[in-house]
Amino acid sequence: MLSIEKGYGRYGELTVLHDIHLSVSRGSIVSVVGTNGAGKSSLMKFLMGVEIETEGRIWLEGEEISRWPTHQRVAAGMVMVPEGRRLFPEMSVRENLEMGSYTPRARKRRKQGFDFVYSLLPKLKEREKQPAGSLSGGEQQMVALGRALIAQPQVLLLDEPFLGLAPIMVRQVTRFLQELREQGLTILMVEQNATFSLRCSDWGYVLVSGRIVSDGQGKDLLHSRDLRKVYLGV
Amino acid sequence: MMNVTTEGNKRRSAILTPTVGVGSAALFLIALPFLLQNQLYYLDTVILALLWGAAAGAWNLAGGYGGLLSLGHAAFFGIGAYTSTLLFVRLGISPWLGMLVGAVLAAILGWLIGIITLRMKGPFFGLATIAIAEVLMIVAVNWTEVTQGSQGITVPYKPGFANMAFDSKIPYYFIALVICLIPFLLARWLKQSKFGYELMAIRDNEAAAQALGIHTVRVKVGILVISSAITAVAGTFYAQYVTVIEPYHEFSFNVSIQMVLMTMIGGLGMALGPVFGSFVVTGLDTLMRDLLQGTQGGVHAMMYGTLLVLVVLFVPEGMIPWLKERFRSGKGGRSHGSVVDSGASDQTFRGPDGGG
Amino acid sequence: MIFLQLLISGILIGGVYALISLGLTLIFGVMRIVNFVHGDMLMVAMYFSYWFYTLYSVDNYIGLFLVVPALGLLGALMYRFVIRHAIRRSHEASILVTIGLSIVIQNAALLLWSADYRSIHNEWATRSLQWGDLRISSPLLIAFIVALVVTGILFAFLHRTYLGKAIRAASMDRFAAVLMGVHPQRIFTLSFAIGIALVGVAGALLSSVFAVHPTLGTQFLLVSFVVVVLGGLGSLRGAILGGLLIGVVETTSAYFIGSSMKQLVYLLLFIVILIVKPAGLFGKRIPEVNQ
Repeated sequence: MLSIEKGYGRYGELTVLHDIHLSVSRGSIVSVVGTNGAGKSSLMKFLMGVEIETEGRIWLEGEEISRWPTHQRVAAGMVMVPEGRRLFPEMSVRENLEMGSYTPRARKRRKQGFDFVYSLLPKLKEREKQPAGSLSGGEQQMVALGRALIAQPQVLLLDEPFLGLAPIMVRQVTRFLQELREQGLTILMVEQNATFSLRCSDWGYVLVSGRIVSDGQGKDLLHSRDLRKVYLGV
Repeated sequence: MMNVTTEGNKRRSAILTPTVGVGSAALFLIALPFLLQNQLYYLDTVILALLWGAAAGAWNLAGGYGGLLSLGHAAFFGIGAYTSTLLFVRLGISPWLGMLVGAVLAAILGWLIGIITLRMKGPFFGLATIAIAEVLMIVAVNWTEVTQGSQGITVPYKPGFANMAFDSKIPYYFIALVICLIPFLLARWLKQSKFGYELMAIRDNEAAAQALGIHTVRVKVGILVISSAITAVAGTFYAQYVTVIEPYHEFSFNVSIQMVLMTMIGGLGMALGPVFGSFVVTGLDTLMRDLLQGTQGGVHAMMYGTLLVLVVLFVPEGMIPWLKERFRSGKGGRSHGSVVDSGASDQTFRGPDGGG
Repeated sequence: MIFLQLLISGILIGGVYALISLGLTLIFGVMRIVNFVHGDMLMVAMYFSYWFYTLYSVDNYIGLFLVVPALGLLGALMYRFVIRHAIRRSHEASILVTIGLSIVIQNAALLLWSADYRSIHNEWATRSLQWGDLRISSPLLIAFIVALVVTGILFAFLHRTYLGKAIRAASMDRFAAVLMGVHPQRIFTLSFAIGIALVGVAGALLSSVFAVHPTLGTQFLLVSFVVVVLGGLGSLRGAILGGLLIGVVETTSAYFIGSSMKQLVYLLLFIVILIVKPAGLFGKRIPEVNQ
C-alpha cells in the first residue's frame, strides 16, 4: 500500500538517504531499524515531505504522491507520530485531538473518531481538559497516538515509538499496535530498538548510513547476522 | 605539459597583476579629485559616498564579520558628530582632537553595549540597539542647554587645517578617503588574523567557538569597540563636511539602516562591500536628484527601500559576489544560500513547499 | 486623584497599544518574524480613515468596516508576494525586508499625502466625559471599548474555530501542525492578514485621537516592540497585559517628565528587560531565538 522507489533525501549539500526501496503491504506492521544517525527520522520526513529535499517516487495505495505537499498526504491518510511526540503543549488534550481531526476527511468523521480513540484510550477522556504539556511522558505518548488515530489514517508512521518508555509501557504500546493491525491499520515505524520493534513486525528493514542494507521477516531479521553486525559491530 | 617559460610567466603575473592593480587604483584615487575639480557636484557625491562607505565599513566589521547585526549604529555616528562639534563650538577645541574624544566616547558606549547584549540572540540584539540609539536621540533633543535640542548646531566656518575646515573640497576628499580606508584595511586584516578567524567562528557558531576555547566575550566586545570608534570618526567628518547637525538625523534609525543597506548591497562580510554599496546608493541618489530636479525626497527614499527589498530577496550575498559569478561563468550565476544565514536558520519548508 | 486619572488614561491608551501589539505578537508567534512594517500599516489605516471622512463624510467608526478588510487584504498581499520569500532565506532577511517595506510605505505616504499633519475633527474628537475630578477622553474611551470587543472576537476565533486553532497550533509547534494537515502558507498568510487587520482597527479608532503624518508609524512600532517583548514574544495574554502596563507607564512618564521625554522610561525599561528576562512575562523559550 505504501512504497518508495529509488528514494534520495538531501539537506542542502548533504545527502542522507541513498537509493531507498521500501514497501509496506496493507494491514501489516513494518519496521525500519538502525542506529543513531542512520537516517531514520529523515526517512519519515521523506515520506511526509517536510524539511528535506527529495528525489524518487512514493506510492500510496496505487497513487504516486511524490510531489504532493504535506497537507495533501495527510489528507490522503498518511499520518505520522513524530519523534518526541510533539504535542501542542498549551492546548488541552481535547484540543490536541481536535487538531488531529483537522483534515476535511477526518473532520467529517470527528465524532466517530473521538469515540474510537476514547474507547481505546479511556485515560484521555479523563484528562480531556488538561493542558497537554502537563501530562506524564507515557500519557503524552497516548495523546500523540490518539491524535494520529483521529486523523483517520490509512497508514500510520511512527518515529521512535519506543523511545524512553518504561518496560511496562513498551508492552502496552506493542499490544496497542497489534490491536490496530487487527483493525486493519497499516503501520510503518522507524526505531532504534530493534528488539522491541521487530518482535511485533511482519517485515523489517535495516538502515545504515542512509542505505537499506538488508530486510526480511520481522523475527528472522531480529536474529540475523546483518543486524548483529550493525548493532554490535561484530 | 608546462614548460619553464609558462611557469615563469605565471609566477611573474601572480606578483605583477595585483601590484599593477593596486598601483593603478591608488593613482586613480589620488588623481580623482583633481579630475573632478570643475564638477563639484560629482566630487561632493564621491566624498559623501566615501564617508558613508566608511560608516558602513565600520558597521560591517561588527555586523558582517561578527554577525552582530546592529540596527542602532547611528548612536555612535551621532556621538562622533556631536562630540567634536560641541567641543569645537563651545570650547574651541580642534575637531581633530574632538574626533579622537568622540571615538573614545563611542568606544566606551560600544563596550557597554557589548557587555549588556552578550546573551542577546537574533532579533533581540537588533531591538536593543534600536532602543539605545533612540534613547540617545531623546537625550540629544531634550538636553537643550548642551545640544541646542532639535534646532541642531551649525559648525562655524573658520577654514584652516586645525579646524578641519577648508575652502576647497579636495582636502575633504582625501580625509574621507583615509577614513574610508581604515575599515577597509581592518576588514582585510580580519581575514588574515587570528582575531578575525575567532570572530568569524563566533559568527558562524558561537557554541562551537566557545567549545574551541575562543574567548567569545573578548572578541565580541572587542569588535564592537572598534566598530563604534570608527563610526564615530565618520560622524565627526560628516559634521565637519556638512556643517549642520541635528539630533533627528544623526541619531536616526535611517542612518543606522543606511549603513546596513549599503553593506548588504555590496556584500556582507566583504572588505569592499560597504564601499561598493555606498557608491551604488549615493550614486543612485545623485542620479535621482538629477532626474527629478525638485527635492522629491520621498522618491529617492522609496528607491532605497525597494532596493533593500530586492537585494535581500534576490542578491542576498550582495552585488560583488553576484557580479563575480556573472563574469566568471559568462552566463547568469546561480544564487547561493544567504551569507546572513543565522545558525538557526528557518528553513522548514525547503523541498516540497507547503503547496505554493 | 491624579494617580487615578493617570491610571485610567494610561489604561485607555494601553488598550489600543495592546490591540496593535496583538497583531505583532501573533505574527511573531506564527512566523517568527519581527514585523517592522507594523507601525506603518497603522499609519496607512489612519490615512484611509482620514480620507474616507474628508472625501466621503464617512465617520471613522463606520469607515472601520472598510478600513479593516482593506488592511487585511494589503497584509495578505504583502505577505504573499514579498515577506514569504524573505522568510525562506533567513530571520535576518525578513527583518530587513520588512524594514525596506516600511521605508517604501512611509515615503509613498509622504509623496501622496505630504508631510502635513491630518486629523479628523468629527463630533467625537474633542469630547470628553467628566466624572468628578476625572476627565476621560471620549474617542479614547470608545477606542478602548472597541479594542476590548475586537480582542474578544479574536480570542473566540482562535479558540473556537478550526482555523483559529490551527493558527495557535502553528505558533506552538509548526512542524507538528503541518503533520496534522495544516497548510502552512495559508495559515501564515491568514495570520499576517489578521495581524494587519487588527492594526487596521486600531488605526480607524485612533484617527479621531491623534493626527496622522507619514512617520507616525515609527513611534507606535517602537512602543509595540516594547509591549511585545515585555509580554513575551508570541504571547497574546502578554501583549494585552504589556499594552496596558506600558500605556500606564507612558502616561505617567509624560506627566512627570514631560511629553517629549515620555518614551525614555519605557525605552530604558525595554533595555533592562532585554538584558534580564528577554522572554518577558509570559514568553516561551523559542529555541531559534531564546537560547
